[in-house]
Amino acid sequence: MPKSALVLRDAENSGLVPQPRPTAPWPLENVVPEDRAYYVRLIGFAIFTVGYVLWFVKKGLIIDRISVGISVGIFIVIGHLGRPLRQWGRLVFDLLCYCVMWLCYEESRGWADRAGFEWQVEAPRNLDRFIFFGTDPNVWLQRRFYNPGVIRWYDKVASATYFTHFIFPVIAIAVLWVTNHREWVRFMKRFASLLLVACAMFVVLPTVPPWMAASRRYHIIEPLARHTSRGFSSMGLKGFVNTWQHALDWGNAVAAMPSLHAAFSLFVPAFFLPRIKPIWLKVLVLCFPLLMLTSLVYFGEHWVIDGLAGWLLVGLSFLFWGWFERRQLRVRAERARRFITAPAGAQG
Amino acid sequence: MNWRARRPQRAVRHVLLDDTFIHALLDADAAAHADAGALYGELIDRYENERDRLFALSSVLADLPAELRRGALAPVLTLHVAAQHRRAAAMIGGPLSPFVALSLVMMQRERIRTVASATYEFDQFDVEVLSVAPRFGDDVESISSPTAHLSAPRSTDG
Repeated sequence: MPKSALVLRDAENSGLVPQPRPTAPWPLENVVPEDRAYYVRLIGFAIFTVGYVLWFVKKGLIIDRISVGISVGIFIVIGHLGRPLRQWGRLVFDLLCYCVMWLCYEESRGWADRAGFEWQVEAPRNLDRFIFFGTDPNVWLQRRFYNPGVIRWYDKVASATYFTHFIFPVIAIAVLWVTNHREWVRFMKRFASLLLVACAMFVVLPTVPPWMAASRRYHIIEPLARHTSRGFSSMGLKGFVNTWQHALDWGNAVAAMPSLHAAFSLFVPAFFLPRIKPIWLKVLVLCFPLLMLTSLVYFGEHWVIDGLAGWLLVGLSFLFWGWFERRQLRVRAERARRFITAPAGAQG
Repeated sequence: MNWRARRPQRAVRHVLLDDTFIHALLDADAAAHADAGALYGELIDRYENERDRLFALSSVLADLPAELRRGALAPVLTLHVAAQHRRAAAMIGGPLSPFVALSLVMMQRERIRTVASATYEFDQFDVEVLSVAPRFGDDVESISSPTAHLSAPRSTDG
């Protein structure tokens, strides 16, 4: 017999007769039968976490799109165990949209090749030099901090920061998907808009990254080392680095503008920033995009202007959707107000 | 220097509009109609300022004409009731009405802790009640939850 079967009010009274409020109101969790599937989901998440960590230690982090898709899919299916059928239907629709988004992203590499827009080689370098008073920030950082024979602590920090790009957005998406669908939709609207505009820019504005600009082919800046994975390898995560290296082989090498690494590193903290209460933590979280951009420049992966363009796109995406959502609130509120202020005879 | 947040964060309050409230709001002949309208006006103001998010059960909204759903209840989000929610509601014993039991289940599952209602049945639970229930006797001092933040307008109907 559930606890709620206890007599909650005088049965003799009808529903509309006011009852004195009990001194200790019933907590809902004592009244409503618990959702047993909740524990199934918890156990599922525990097994998933153990499996994921074991995989990470033995084979490295999962970064290729298909494996990421499978692992995220398993996580989300666990999160939906015991949920109503309607939510499963919604999940299938969401997954389709999600897959279409990434397929378009992957396809944009091919479109970039076929479109044949002129590669930007000197323009980003000139812009960087303009911002830094004639200095090439990539070259400046490597001359001061890079030592081919020694892997210092900051190499590891920068490398780890670089590779968070493949983890943080995916974790944010998966967790929101399972815990709060409304927030997931808000997140994905901004995220998909950012990807869409970035892909369009990759097609119409193919930009040579600094490591390529420093190569013999162009040689428009001093030679740079592309030592991105060095710090991560030194931490024993070679499997992950190998997968990443393989991914580079089929990636679009001239997709430097805008930097999605920089964009995502701002996007995820910016989305969750309103939920973070202490100001010091907000400031700390916002240091992450700066750390990411510094790492990208240090590794010769991106120009500074690429990162700034990525941040700008994030800002525009948030501004647009923020405006659009506030407008929706206003419109709906106005419709409801019209009903309240309408004469009684005109209602309903 | 105080490194904590200087102004309080605006937490979005989730409010369930139960069936009695919606019927009081939409039925111009209902005793609590005026009070429901006044409270709904306040809720809409808060909704527009992103302070409140309004919900109602699909089982309640399904019976309403589409123009009301798109107009009067445009700010209200739908909580879809499934068979498992009905089963859970049926397991709640006591003299609660099935509608209240279902509302309690959905509030618990969706982590909603505020309800706008025209009944007294929610008063016995640990939730914030925005009550527009009609007052039947002068001896009743207050029929709304003491935890309610909004003013709960009272009907002057005797």
